[in-house]
Amino acid sequence: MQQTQTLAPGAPIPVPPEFPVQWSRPDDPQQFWEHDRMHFPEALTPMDGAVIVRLGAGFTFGARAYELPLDEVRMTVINGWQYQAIVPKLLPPEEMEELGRRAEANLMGAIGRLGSLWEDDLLPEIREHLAWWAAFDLAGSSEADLAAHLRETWRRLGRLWELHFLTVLPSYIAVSEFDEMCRALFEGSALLDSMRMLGGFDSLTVRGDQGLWRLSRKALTAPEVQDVLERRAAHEVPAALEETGPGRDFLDALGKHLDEFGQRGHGVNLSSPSWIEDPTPAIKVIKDLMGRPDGEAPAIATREKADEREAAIAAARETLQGYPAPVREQFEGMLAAAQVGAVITEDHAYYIDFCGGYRVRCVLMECGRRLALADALSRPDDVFFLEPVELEEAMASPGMADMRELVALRRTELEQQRAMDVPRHLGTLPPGPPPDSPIGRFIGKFFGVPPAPPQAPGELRGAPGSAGVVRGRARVIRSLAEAERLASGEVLVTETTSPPWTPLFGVAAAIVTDTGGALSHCAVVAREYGIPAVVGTDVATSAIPDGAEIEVDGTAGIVRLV
Amino acid sequence: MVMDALEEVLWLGEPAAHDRARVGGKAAQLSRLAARFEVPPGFCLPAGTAASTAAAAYRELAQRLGEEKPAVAVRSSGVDEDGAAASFAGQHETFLHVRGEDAVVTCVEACAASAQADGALAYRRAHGLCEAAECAVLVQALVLADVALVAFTADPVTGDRDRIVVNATWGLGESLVGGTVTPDAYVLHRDGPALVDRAIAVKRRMTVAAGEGTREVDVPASLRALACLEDAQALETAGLALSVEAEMGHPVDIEAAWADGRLHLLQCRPITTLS
Repeated sequence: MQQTQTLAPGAPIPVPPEFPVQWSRPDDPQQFWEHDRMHFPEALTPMDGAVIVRLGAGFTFGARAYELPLDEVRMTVINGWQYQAIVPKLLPPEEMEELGRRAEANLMGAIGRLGSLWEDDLLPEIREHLAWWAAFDLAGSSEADLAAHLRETWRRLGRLWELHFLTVLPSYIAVSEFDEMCRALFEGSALLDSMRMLGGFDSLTVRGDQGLWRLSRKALTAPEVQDVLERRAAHEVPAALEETGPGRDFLDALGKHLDEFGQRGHGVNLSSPSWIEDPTPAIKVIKDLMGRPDGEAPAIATREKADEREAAIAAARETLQGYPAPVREQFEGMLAAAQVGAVITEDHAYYIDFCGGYRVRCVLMECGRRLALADALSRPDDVFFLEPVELEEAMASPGMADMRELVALRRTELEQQRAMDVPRHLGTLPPGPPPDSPIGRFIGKFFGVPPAPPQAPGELRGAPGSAGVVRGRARVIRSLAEAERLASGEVLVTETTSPPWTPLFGVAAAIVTDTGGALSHCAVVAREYGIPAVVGTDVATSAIPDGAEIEVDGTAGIVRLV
Repeated sequence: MVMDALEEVLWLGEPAAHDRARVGGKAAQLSRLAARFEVPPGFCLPAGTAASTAAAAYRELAQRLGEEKPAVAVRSSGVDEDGAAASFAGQHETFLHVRGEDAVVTCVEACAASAQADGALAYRRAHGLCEAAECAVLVQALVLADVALVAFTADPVTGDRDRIVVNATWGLGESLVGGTVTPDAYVLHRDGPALVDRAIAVKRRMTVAAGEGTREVDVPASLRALACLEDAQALETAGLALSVEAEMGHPVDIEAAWADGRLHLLQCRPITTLS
């Protein structure tokens, strides 16, 4: 990392000897590759890696649809770790500028009709894909039908990622450009002020959390249920609840909730089980919420956020009375788009990342079950250690190939890859900073920028993600599998939080991350929960000892060891 | 008491306010133009007017406008200012978006004092004017401009009398007059007038009304490179400048504003640099 920073622009980045790199395309070494720690904090199985490559293709599709001034977005997996490169267009500056203007016009056009773009164009198609998967009887299908279903699944997954980027590009840029506008118009007001005008809407994230809250209240009304949830570890809870009538009743209600909101695993990784398959994470959250007073109901917090939003908007409108009329019109247009965009940036993850990912996982697991029965695999989830091509061949003749040894080797390899020191950048440094554009501005606010150096001993600096100051015990959580260690009222210190982490925001008193900017998922959700967040500190998980007392100042973007 | 005080106040458009010896050149010209053009309503306070009179006049203006605390512009109007020999442009104080009696009185006093400020005195000496300046003060309803304009009925650089130049920026006129923003520039031929050239600038800053006063902020990215006038509005602005020139009898430089689709005349000065 230090090395990268001292290199001249355009210089090749030295590859650490313990991280051998094999490029797949001839011009790969000339690209600037970044590891996206925010979305891919863990090493990936071969099957997850294949999904990542499709995700890159979807990004390229979205970029081309809006005519962004770039050639393609490549995503690849090196030693099990995700890397992405934005391949620039090699054109004279005037043509680049012209392209930039076209992209901006296309994006602004989409932003101008964002609500309808999502509701009328993109979401119906997403729902059609989800319905197609739901209508297929996986368990009852013939081998041939399942093989055909698998091929079509890949095609539709590719299309979902295209729809994903058609959705997120204008949605995030609407939020980002609204923020830019507020910074210009209301000098001295921080980013967080513009975000206050976008909060308090009922996104699907919020609705899912409200469901868990209601389950926590329901648990408190039945002594048998309350007793099990309070005394047993989360993973023991389902079996214990099965033993009593009220317990079974509660499991039934939990099942209904999970049918709607449990199609979520660990981020984009299809290899991790969803909450439907393993409800432990949901039960853990319910256990924590049971200790909260009624006054902390998420619906109340959402209502407060909505009141705060309307007050902030009224103050902005009052101020704008002294501004030119075209400025007021632009403000109203961008506000409306950004409010829609703020909800879509959450809801798209529900439909595409969660529900879509879950459906594809179900198909792969069914294939895995068939192959395990045929002794081609040891267990169903071995399927994630195959490449798509290998799976397709195996499905064509399930009895023919024994891939158990291969999978065992790959499992060992993944363990080794998990322990690797992962370079942040590979390839060649870009010749200069990216040009100032709506896309560039958004990327900075989403992925974050390098944090300022500490101004005092025992201090870490990041971006202000969500306002407020809180003291508490730091709990360094490196993966969702460790989430049970986080106790109510502790500060969640983590590399990153992707959408599946959301329920932990209801447990934590504050959040500190290594990665991300003020528009990252973590910051957005922390603001919805009204808890302080400092994002993009780069080093929090290594610099803050687990269990240390810390103060999180989400307003200033500073973490202090106390 | 109040009635007595108001006797000293000269309302724009009324014949008494056309007297440059009492209200200063700037106000006298505006008063004359108020009969024919859309000039924001207001009043003049001759030099030496008491603070209580200024307050009473503001209350009367508020009543006429039907507003409790109307925002006003407070400007000095020197007795020998804006004469055909020297324009005094920018030498005296201007306060925009002043609201409330106390604030108006404070600004009126500051304007009166500004006639004695070093810069203004040096200007007077350089133009051979006597040093003991008498300064009237002009108070007018503030036009919350969508677009601020300056128009010259001769090219201010080349002196070409066939050319009209219109400059336009977003918001109030301070950023335009103060030179902190590069304005859109329209060049028109006086016959017609007809548009000859149009240069749309990237306008990074604008002055807006805020609190008790104004402030300069960034123009939102989406409006920076956008023309702030339709061509028809540029033509109408040039037409206004020509009408004012005809009324005054010599080339002029006017300040004007578009607000809510209407064109307002704010200031008028002779162009004193033409040979």
